[in-house]
Amino acid sequence: MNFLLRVFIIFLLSYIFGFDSYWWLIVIYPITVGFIFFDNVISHFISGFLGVFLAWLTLIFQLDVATHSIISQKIANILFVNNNIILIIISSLMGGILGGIGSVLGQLIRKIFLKNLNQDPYID
Amino acid sequence: MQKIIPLKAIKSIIVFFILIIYIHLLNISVFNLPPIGKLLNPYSGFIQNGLVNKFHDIELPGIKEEVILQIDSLLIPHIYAKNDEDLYYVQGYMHAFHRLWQMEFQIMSTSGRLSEIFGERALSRDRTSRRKGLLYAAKNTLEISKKDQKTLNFIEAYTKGINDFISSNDIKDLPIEYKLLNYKPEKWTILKSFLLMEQMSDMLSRTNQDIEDTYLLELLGKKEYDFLFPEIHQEVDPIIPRNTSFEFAPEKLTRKRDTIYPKILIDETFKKPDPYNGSNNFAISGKRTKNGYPILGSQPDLSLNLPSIWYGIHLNSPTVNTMGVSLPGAPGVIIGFNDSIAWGETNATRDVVDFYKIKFRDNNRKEYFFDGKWLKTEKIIEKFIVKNSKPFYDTIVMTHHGPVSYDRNFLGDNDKVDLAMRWIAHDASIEYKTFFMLNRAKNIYDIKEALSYFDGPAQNFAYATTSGDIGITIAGKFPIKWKEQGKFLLDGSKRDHEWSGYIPFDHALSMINPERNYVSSANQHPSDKSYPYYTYSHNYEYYRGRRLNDRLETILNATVEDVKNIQNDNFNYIAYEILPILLEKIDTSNFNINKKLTLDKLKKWDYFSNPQSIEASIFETWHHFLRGKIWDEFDTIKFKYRRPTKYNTFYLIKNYPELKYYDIASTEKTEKLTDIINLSFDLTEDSIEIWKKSNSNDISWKNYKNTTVRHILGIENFSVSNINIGGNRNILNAASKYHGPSWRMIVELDPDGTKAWGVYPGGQSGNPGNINYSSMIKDWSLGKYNKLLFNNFSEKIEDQMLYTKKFKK
Repeated sequence: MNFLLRVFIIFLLSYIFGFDSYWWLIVIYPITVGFIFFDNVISHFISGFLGVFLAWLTLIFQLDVATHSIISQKIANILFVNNNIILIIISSLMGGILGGIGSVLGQLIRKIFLKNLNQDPYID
Repeated sequence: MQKIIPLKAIKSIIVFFILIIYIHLLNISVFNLPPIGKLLNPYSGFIQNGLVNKFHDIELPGIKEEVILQIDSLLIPHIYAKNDEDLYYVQGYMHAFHRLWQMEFQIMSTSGRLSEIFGERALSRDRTSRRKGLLYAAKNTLEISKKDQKTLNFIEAYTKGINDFISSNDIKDLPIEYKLLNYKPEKWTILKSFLLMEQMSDMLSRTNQDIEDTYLLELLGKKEYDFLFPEIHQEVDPIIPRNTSFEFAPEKLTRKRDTIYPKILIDETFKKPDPYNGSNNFAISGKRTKNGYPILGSQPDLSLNLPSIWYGIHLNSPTVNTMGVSLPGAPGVIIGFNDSIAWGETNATRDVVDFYKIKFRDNNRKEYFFDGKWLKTEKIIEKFIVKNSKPFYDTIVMTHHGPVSYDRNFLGDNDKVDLAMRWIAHDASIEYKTFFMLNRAKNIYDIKEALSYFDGPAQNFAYATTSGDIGITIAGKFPIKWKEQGKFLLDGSKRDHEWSGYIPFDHALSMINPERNYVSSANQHPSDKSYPYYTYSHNYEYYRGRRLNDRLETILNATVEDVKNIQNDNFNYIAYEILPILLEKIDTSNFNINKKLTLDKLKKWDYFSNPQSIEASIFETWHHFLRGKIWDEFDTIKFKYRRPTKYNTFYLIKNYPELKYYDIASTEKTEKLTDIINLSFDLTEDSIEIWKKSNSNDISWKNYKNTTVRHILGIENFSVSNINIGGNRNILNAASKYHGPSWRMIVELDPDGTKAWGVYPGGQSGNPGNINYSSMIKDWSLGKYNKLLFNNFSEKIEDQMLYTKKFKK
């Protein structure tokens, strides 16, 4: 439950509250979630990754369908990817990695401040 | 425990740095790729540019009174304002709304600032721009414009509209090119709008062959030079008909003819404007039209680009109701119509740029010799900001002639050559005043008054009015020259080599309501020798003008359909004149079946270069090789030169069966005309076979020619290629590979309401992600037009509009 909840929170926040000017600021969502929930770092990497990956995938796909893939196809060709679906997946993977690193960082910071791991109130 | 905490901290710090590096790498440009994170993220990346027509973002915060804005299905804005400042404010806003990147990029290019975006590889181009004096000229104009408050107010309002759009615009809505090249728009200024006019001059009035022809004159001798490069031919049908009598007393030449030209040799000259920048326009009097109203056609041929060079607009205020095409970056309508008149321009081509050889006193270049005295120079240090590198400084030496464009620092062949550039575009002038007045003109007197303010780039203005008048005026500031002055390099130390002043506007070539009941121009010679001023250009056109007049002569009850047919006419005048002569000289004795078939096709050809024509592909290749074989002697010349024109080449073939140029220099044999005609036909066959192997078996003209509308940056995926269109350069439908009719407009001057049709190869939106980016290209290629919605505002036409909104102050 912890894992799925984390993915869902990160997904929702990244989906709704993006930042135009500094796109990478959404990394605060996986960092915060990584800080609040206790788990091992690998699990956190995956939840952070999935949360942002899915949010970006959904966002880009929605916009792409609404705009008949005109721009994604052209940009895909410019970047030598040649297929707009692959471009969208690459874009989302890029966001996913950002989320993954963010969540790991959140968890590591948590471990600095909480000396006794067993005192974690959120532990399963 | 104390040991564990630092370890955890170190882990956190490491991951933190990984995160920072990851974000940083995605935000910078590596391997010349755009910053991937900025480009690909869903919040502000490319996908946001896919959004169509964000009309809800239009705000107009700077208006003073109520404004109604409508946008029709072509995305043409119809602006109804209660005062002129609001009108131009909204025009500026809408230009930026659809074309911001293009507007700014054109100005960066004109002012020599591309190195700021592209780094060192653009530096040479930037230096050329500054050395041509474009920025210097725009600054001159800015100074003088301050004396004309009304014009300045309009341009200021326009500028404010652009800037209000820029400041309300989010990063996510920036045009895709900014995201790809990783920079942001700057504030617009009045100077930038003046720079846009300089850019037009650069494209239209800078053409010259002074350096090349000086060299050819030296190499060939005067007699041979004149034989190969005559100024005019008997067959030319000038804009103002032959043997027109001019009643004015011409201005006297205050300089004596002096034909001792400086002799220099130079490897490389400034890149010339496209020699095929041309156009056609005409007005037919109501006496020759079916409905009895004058009809005006205007078709400027320019480089085919995306975003399009033109932007359609309808401007309505208590002082004006005008529609047509505008230039993004410039207020007003440039080619269009209003309730009473319609007008269109073609390039006048006349030579208004000359180069003067400068003799400096010494290496300091502080003084130069002129008319027996040493005059002081002024030095301007130009700073170039170069991306990823240190700034570059270039010293430009100014003389009273103009900037020393070629010198020891730039193309000047190591201090052997110093050439100052004298160009009409350097002079202060406010062309915007002309357009503001034309947009409001009610009759030919208003038009004449408006054109009197027009200095350049000189244009042939054709016009028609609802009161039934038609006319054509060649407007622009023209120097008075002695015969052949400025055809070759001039001596900057001689007073007699300076221009003798300027032709007064009252002496301009102009014609109103002529007996033949039509006026026309297609970049041909402006007049014959009956005009008492010297009007030389090396680049007057020989074919389109004759075809245009041939067509106009035969049509007695012209309709809008007839005018469409003229604008889309694919008749190949070159083929009509020269192909029968070539076919006569072909020796078929050794021909295989394929060659015979090809030849039969050509014999039966009707000379129309239609999209499906195979003959056009063969003929164009054939005469290309033939000209190459005739002028092969020239290709071995070391310095910068030019070849004789197409027209003169074919004139020589027709009239001089024996010429030394027919021999191919690299062979032992002495070839005759027949030999090279046959040889070039063989080469054509081979070359087409090779083309077929690397392309397709279909050598229809449209495939073979491959007309392409290119994105300004040459990005292939933002360009449209293999367009289904016929025509070529020297054909009325002037669509060649990268060049062609950039706007087709037809206006019927019905006093009960001007009717107009238009189409251009592109679309109103400059966004490659918008359907309207290139949506008109298909109609354009097929010769289909859009009826332009030109009415006073009424609720009735609202359902033809995509968007209607009243903006309150």
